[in-house]
Amino acid sequence: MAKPKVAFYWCASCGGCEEAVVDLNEDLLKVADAVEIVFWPVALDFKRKDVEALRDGEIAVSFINGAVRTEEQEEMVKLLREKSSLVVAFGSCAHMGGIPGLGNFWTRDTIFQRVYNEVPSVENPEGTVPQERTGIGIGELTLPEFYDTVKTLDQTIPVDYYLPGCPPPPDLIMNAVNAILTGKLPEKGAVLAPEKALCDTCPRAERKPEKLSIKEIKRPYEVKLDPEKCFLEQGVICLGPATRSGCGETCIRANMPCRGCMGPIKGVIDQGAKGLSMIASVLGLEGEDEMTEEDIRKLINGLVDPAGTFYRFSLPASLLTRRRME
Amino acid sequence: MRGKPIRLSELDPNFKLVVIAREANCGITACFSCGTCTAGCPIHEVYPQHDPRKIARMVNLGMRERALSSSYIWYCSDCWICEQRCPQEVKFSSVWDVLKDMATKEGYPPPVSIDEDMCSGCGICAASCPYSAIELRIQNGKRLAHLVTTLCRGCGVCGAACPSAAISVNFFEDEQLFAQIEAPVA
Repeated sequence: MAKPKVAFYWCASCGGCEEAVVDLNEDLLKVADAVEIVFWPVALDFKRKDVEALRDGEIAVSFINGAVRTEEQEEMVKLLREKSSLVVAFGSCAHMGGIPGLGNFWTRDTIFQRVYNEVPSVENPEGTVPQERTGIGIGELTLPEFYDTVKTLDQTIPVDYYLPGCPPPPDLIMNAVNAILTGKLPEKGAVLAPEKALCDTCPRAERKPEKLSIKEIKRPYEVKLDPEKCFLEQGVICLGPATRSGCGETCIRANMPCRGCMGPIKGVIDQGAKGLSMIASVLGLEGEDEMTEEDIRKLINGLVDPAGTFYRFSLPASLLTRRRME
Repeated sequence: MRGKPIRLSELDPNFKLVVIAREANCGITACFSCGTCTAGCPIHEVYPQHDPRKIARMVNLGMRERALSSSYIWYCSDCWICEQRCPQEVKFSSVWDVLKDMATKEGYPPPVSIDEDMCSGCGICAASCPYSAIELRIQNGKRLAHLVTTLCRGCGVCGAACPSAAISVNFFEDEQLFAQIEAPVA
């Protein structure tokens, strides 16, 4: 029997998801034995025409990471959708927009202005920014369009399954691959990770206080973090209660709070809003009656960059989607 | 509720007196069912079954069991537009408080539930509950939130605060909340 064909593709991403595939270590050899990889720009020399030559639906599964930010990415994912029976959104960026999705707080013009003119290490006296078309005597050079708004994969093409995480942990990747190879898949649209929040598996869960209350918000660098205590108890924003488990608590074990890369728990529409309401619920508890307006303002202002904190990985997928365009 | 016959034998003529005994100045007996309260009620816009006029009528008629067992008494969002507009100056805030308290004590707890399969034991709900109605208990080695129904007043703070989609309040799902937002702005 012919081996099932598999494709990997990357859109707006950092390359960490590709690293995660390599992190499968010896298991990668098992995967490579069981499937035929027909497209993987980062590792193998296949071209777009090789994908175009395939029949519709011929690829058993395409793992696509990264958010959709350019015209090229949109074209490629639409092509892969046509050629694939299953499409898996791989990693936070494809799932929810991820870090590149924070670009939705800006526009193409403001991003270009910053990157090509204002950054201190850039010298660009003519103010040149990338153009979609540039005439150069012997012809015309073209670049794909850079969109104002970053989209998630499922805002661009229909997605069958989601593998969350920044990057997805190797055990969840192997579970997903095994499920696909054996046909034991959950219903379409499922996130291939546990359903409960991270606090459920947090190694610090047992030492959590009876009553949480944040008296002062601190950023991780401002405090010597106790490796045993709940981060929230120490005044450090941890999105563990609002974030899906399954990551292996790697950040927590490295004494850093959860930043929410695994996305919302099943049934939650907007992870950022949940994070915000959770912090608002325990901020300054048990003492609010004695607080002056000034105290309250100071306490709230301790939260630097709330939008970036609560929507770090999920802005394009949230109810906000982006900053309002002028 | 609509269409059910009222059986005189089931009425409790002392019901309104019990309410007045607990809130002497609530003025419930002054209600003549004009309906100004319901006309201004934003919850009634979305859930027509939630009807302050009807509840006030039930209290005055002595329909104790039906008033207390109705899940709609919990739908009130405490905005007290009804109280501000009432021409008879009925103190709905006090009446509602008494009714909710009687309901929980007589075995009709607010429709709040905690899904233990989804609860991660983070403790946000217990910290934010103004009535201390949520306890964290260890069950099978895991910390889980547990609702003390007799203390719960159905205010909904826990449901809003729960970041793990484990608490449901008054059967409100996100879809219903969106409908509530859209109804007045449409």
